[in-house]
Amino acid sequence: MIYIVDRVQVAPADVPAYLQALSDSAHPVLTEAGLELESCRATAGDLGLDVDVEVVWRVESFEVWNEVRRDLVRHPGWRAWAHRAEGLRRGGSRRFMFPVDLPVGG
Amino acid sequence: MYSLADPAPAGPVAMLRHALADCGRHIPEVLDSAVGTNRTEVPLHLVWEHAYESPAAYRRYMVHPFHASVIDRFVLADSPERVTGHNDLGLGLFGYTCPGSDYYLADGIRRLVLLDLREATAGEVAAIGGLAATTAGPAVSVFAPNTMAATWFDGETPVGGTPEWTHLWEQGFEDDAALEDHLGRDGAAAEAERTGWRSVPGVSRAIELRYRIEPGWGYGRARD
Repeated sequence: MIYIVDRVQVAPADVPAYLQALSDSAHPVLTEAGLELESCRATAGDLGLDVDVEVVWRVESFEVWNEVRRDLVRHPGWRAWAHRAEGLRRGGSRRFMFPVDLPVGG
Repeated sequence: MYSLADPAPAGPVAMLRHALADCGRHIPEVLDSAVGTNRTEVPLHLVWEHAYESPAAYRRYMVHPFHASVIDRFVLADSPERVTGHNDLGLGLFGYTCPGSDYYLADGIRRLVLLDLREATAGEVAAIGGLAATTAGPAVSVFAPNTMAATWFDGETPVGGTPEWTHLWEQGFEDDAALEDHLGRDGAAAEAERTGWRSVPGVSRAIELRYRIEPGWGYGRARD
């Protein structure tokens, strides 16, 4: 399993709009293309800093991701989501991550 | 060919350039990677030229983790780290097939003339090809249809309609002086170039990109 981790920085006042965009622009399009939503978390909004919003999507393999990608780039809703998100975030990152064994204890 | 965002942060753009130039180190199927900065007014700023041995090799690139994890990080529309931007030219991927490394230019100036020949007859396309083939001057001269734009998913299966920019005349020159000498010559091709191709039957639109070849990792390896 591959985890696609998008972490963006959003002004506190824009967090509701960003989450709304995730909900009604990103989620329908990305899940239709084949991604599954793993989690969505955010830092506190009252720290006097931008809020970090972290959304994790999962996909089975890079082969499946390639097909998802093909469908996304041809989907007008995906470009609309991208445009909407671009206007709300101040920065961010995307990483493809994998589960790793963490030897703990004994 | 990428339009860069305005403004585009210098650090991430440099990382993208490095990732593209270095791609063959990570994905062996990617041959002859080179990058260039377009010098013309066409709003395409960064060019990545590279080759594949076959459609199968291209498909291995498409599913490679380096492609998804590093290159797409900077170019995919919804990536938070995107540094590329939109353009209204209908241009992004442009590619053609050739029997060998016909495109190879060890060093010098690349010039790309992109042509919209959607309204051209077969005879008009052939005439333009003949013009390119008989023009002395460029050290590299390849006239070819843009087959990759419509088959970008697997290199073979059409996933889109006819591209807006249907043909390419790819040229290579030893240096800027050789390029200017080419453009200053007498002859039908030079005349067409000087007039922006407006006088040539079948050409709806033409744009030009120029850049100095910046060879990446393993450049020239395909000729070994």
